[in-house]
Amino acid sequence: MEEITSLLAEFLEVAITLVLSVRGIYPPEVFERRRYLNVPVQWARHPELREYINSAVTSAMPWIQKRIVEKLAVVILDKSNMPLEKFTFQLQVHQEHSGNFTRTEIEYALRAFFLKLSVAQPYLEPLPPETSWEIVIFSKELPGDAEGKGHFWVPAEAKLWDQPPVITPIKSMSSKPLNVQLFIEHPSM
Amino acid sequence: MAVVSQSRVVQDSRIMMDSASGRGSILGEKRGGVAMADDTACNGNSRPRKHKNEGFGDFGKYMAEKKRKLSLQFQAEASDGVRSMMEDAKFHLTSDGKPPSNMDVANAAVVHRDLTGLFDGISIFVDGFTIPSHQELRELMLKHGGRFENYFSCDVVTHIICSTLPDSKIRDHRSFSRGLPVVKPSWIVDSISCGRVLPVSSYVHERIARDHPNQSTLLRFLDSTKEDSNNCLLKKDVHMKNQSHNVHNPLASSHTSSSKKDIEHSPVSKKGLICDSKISSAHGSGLESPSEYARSHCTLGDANFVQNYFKNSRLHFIGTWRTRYQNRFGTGRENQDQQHDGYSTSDNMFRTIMHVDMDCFFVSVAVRNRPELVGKPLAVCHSDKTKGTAEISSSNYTARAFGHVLMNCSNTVYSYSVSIIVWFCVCPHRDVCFVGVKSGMFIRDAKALCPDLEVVPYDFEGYEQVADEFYDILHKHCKRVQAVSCDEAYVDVTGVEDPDFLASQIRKEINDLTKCTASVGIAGNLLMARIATKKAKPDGQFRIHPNQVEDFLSHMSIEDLPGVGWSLQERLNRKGIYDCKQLQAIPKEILQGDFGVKTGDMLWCYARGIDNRQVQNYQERKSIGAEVNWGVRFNSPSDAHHFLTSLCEEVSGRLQEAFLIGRTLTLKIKKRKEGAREPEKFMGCGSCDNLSKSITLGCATNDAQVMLRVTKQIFASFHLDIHNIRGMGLQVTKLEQNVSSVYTQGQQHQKVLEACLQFSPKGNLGKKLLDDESVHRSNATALSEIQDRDNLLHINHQHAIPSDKKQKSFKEKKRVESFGKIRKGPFSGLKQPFMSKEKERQNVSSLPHYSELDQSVLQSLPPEIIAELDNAYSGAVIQNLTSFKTHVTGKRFEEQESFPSIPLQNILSNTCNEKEDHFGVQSNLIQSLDPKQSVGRTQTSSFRDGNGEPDLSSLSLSQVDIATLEELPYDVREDILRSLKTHKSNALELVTEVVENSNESDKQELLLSGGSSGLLHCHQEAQLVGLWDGDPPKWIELSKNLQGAGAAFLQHISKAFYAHEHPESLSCILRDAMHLREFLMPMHLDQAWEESMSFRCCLELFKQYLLSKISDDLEEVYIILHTVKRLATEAIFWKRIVQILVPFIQESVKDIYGGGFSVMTTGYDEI
Repeated sequence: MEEITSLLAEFLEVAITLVLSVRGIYPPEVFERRRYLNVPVQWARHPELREYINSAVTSAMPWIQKRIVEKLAVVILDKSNMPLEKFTFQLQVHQEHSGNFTRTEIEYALRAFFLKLSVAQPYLEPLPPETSWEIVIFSKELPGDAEGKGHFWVPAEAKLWDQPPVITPIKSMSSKPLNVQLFIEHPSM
Repeated sequence: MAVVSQSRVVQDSRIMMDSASGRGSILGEKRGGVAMADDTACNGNSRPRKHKNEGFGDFGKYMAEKKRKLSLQFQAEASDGVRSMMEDAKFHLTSDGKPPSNMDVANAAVVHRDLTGLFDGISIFVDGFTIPSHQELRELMLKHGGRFENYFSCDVVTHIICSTLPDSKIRDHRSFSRGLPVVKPSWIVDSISCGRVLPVSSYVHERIARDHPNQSTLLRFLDSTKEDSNNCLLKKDVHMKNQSHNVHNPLASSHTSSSKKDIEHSPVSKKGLICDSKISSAHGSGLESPSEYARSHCTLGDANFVQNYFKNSRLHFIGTWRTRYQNRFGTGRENQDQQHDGYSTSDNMFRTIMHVDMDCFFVSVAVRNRPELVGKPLAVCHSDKTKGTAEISSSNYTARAFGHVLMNCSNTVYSYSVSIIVWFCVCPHRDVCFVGVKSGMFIRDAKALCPDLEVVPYDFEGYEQVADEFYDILHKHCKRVQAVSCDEAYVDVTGVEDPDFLASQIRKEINDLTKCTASVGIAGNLLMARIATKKAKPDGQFRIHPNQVEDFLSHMSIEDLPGVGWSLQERLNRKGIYDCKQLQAIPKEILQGDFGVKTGDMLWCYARGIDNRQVQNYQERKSIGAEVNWGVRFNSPSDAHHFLTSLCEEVSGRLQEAFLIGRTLTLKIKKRKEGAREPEKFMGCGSCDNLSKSITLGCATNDAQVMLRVTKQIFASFHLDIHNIRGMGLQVTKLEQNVSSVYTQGQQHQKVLEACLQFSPKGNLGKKLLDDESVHRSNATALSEIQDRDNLLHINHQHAIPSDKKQKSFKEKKRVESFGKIRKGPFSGLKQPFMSKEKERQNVSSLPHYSELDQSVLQSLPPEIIAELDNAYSGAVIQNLTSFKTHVTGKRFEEQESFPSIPLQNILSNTCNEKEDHFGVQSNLIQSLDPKQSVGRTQTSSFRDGNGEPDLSSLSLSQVDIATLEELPYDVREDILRSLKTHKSNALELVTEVVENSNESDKQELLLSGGSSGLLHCHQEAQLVGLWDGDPPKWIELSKNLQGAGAAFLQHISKAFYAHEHPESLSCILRDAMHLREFLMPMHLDQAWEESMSFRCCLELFKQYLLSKISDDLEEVYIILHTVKRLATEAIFWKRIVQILVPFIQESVKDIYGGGFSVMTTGYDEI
């Protein structure tokens, strides 16, 4: 189980960074090309940015593991703090199956996410200037006294669109121990 | 803080604040949970991508601008020059006292252009120090209409001018010149003084010319096009095309030939001309007409390149020869079983195998009618250019001997040019190395070794003829002949008393009949026989007795072992192994470890002279394909497309010839290696990367259109620059016999049945049916064809097969084979041209006695043939078969049990031989409505005996068992209903009813309720629940029984489902099925198709699948919807599905994810 959790955490960190890079939230110089799971990805050079993503992901991991949290989104906001895009990761960890899997199989499946994400540009419209972003997790119940770094998280305001969003699936994988889906939500026109 | 984003990151105060203040609210999310947002840190506002480097970017602009300006200046100067000259002319004329007419001015201009236009289209770039100087050359070009480039660019520059070439530039002269001619400045000066553009060949830098012999031809070409006033300059590919025309066109059309010859042969002018005359004489006696020879040699120039390529390809001849051989000698599959029972494999030790090989086949056939050439060194090649790079395909022994002396000492070898060393076997442990004229050698190298070498063209017809004669002789002497190629065969002569005598007799016969010689090796197995032949050559025979094997092998070098090619030899040599004795010393395990299990095993056995292979009459084909690696150059995607089309047609033709269909298509592409230059071999592929990809289809095909579509898809997936393609090949594997293919014969079913229905009123019993002339004839044709093929009945009688299972499978095979062979027999045979009565009788009269016939084989024959035989044996066959069958009931298909009864049924059962359960059902076809009687085949006889006259047209609908009818395939049912003329209107009603109600369990429902639609509907609904349950899923079973719109699709994907074994997803299956899109399209839609079971089943299939995927595989849902939408653009059936499916799925997605798919909301809603 440990293995799955750490792999998933790594995956999320890299994927979130890649989303930022693909969307051009920061100038390209902020990122450098690295290889993860044998796939080229963009990795943040800025230590604080790395630290932010890392802390967000690791602190959310215990909840993900318990399936209190099944959705994690990178939300891109405009000047007035309204969401422009949501990159939603839907995560389902099946602890009961954690024994029988091979790491390589899951790595293989996860790799596809990076590849699809790197070429997701055509699905997306250019962002207006002055955007910001945040990581949001959706929990089914109040996480209560979470162990570790849970205190980082603050309840968020509901920034909902008027219309139901439009969904563009990027990639899905399902395996016994782990289901991951990534899709983009836009406000409908 | 690194780099630019510094301010953005830091200035966002929320980093500190938010985490402390804990601002936020509870989200009213659907699941009733709380959403948490973490706003800490890094709310980096993005900013537009910066536009930097503007200062640097200007350099490129500056250069572009500079170039543009320079060329403008140049043009201006040039036109100034013209104008001034024209003014000169004007002035000159006026000074004569006459006013200058417009005419005069124009004339002057023309004269002037003649001079100035000298270098029209030529653009030079001067490199380094030259005499005359840079500036002077510029002036010259200016004056004479050429262009002068200050900066090199291979798009514009056509010639590079320089006096000296430094070593560094030579070393990589390709990248330096980009394949453009590098000439001396004197070329320009001399050209001007001669008043025409001279051939550059004599001005090319020696160093380049010497290193790259091809360069000179390229240059020569440039001039010749110039002389042909072919001024359209001049993409490199155009060069290539025209060049090919030149070089390979010694008999070029008259208007260009003289000049070209001069140019082409300028260094060896006389010799070249001699060559030409030789070829023309060769052609005079040969088969190809000169004009055919003078075709363009590249995909660019020749629309029928692929066809011509294969028409002239020796490899193609060898490749397709086998099909021809099998068709001719009838060595089909059926002989394979037969051949094993004669000899038991245990007496391997005492076999006698003969290896017969024609001596330098291609040469000796080509010159067998030209005695004047005997004793001269000869080679076969498609071109006789002394400097050419055409490969020799075969040379005679006189020629092979040449060069030995020349190469005897290794010092001389290295003084020779590099290209020859390739052909020279480097054997470090030997003193003597030699190279002779060999096959595969470039002709120019061969000519260098042997200047007197006579080159003769191919004689493909001769090859076929001689090969046929050769095999005729072998088959005459021996039953077990394994054809290796057109000129080489193994013959099993075990049991022959004096193989030596037989060998000499065979050789003599071959020599007498074909005027060519053959060599024979005799030994205990295939390997040793082959080795013996090597020893026997030329024109001799050699026998290795079993006790001599060891002795013989120990002296043999490993390279003489069959199966040891040069790479294997090299690897062995590296280990210090040079001869078989050394090889014998190595244990098998080590060999297998070093060279792989198979190769190691082979080496171990071969070193000891062990070879357990059998002489096999028939070798099953594993793949069929075609490959073109010569002359392939493309300019545009349409060239490539055209090429692929012809390639597919070629392969499709070969498949059809061999009666095969295949499932896997592999496209191989040779791509020019990065940085590889134009190959040394003219139009060859040069140094290439080999790419290949394959796609396996859901069902086998031999249709060129289907293949083309798939091939194009593979091709596109390579994402290649078409200019870099040097060769392409298409191969089809996973071959099947082309018999049961529904798709290719689907149409025939209908015709057959129609035909049968028409006949049945006339002849009620099988025997009577024979009276119908056309059926009779077709049977006769089928029969006689079978008899032609080695008297099938006799053969089968001879062989005894131990197990019942084998027997069955064998019969199946045979049946398939005979159908394949006489494809036109039973199915479309009704339309075949009549056979002459005489021949028919001949065949019948030569029948063996009835007791010789093998009952079990008779059983498996198609009913028409049985009926025919029955006729021939005056009724004995059917009588006997009916008694025979009682012994074997239960095990056999019902088909066999019922076949002596009514031909109609049998033919029906043939048409649907894919589905066994149809066999039984058809016998129940016509009977009363009583449901209790619908089971059991007693009905068959009651129908036959009771009804006496099965005149379908007189039957009323009430006599038709609806349950049975609906079991039938759609087309068959249509036919039957159509033939029930009397109740046409009822029939239509029935059809719709039948369509709706197409499952076995429905039958009773229908009968009980009397067609009450309410009940029926409930039942349908029940069936459609849980289509994906079970393994295999329920729909697969259901789809078997479905008819009408969509049924074809369901059946197709259910096939694909099985083909994938464990398909990951429906999208996989669909994606593969898209190649065969026409099969997914329902052909004809009934009125009520939207209510039909098959449509609903399709719809439910998708619905249920997608619903199951929505929660954790959005991607799959998305892909499927897109695929179906794509289908919807082509068929109303799919449009309807999309109309229902998309909104439904959108809603479900919304339920779970709170939003729908993007593209789905637009576009198809308004269909």
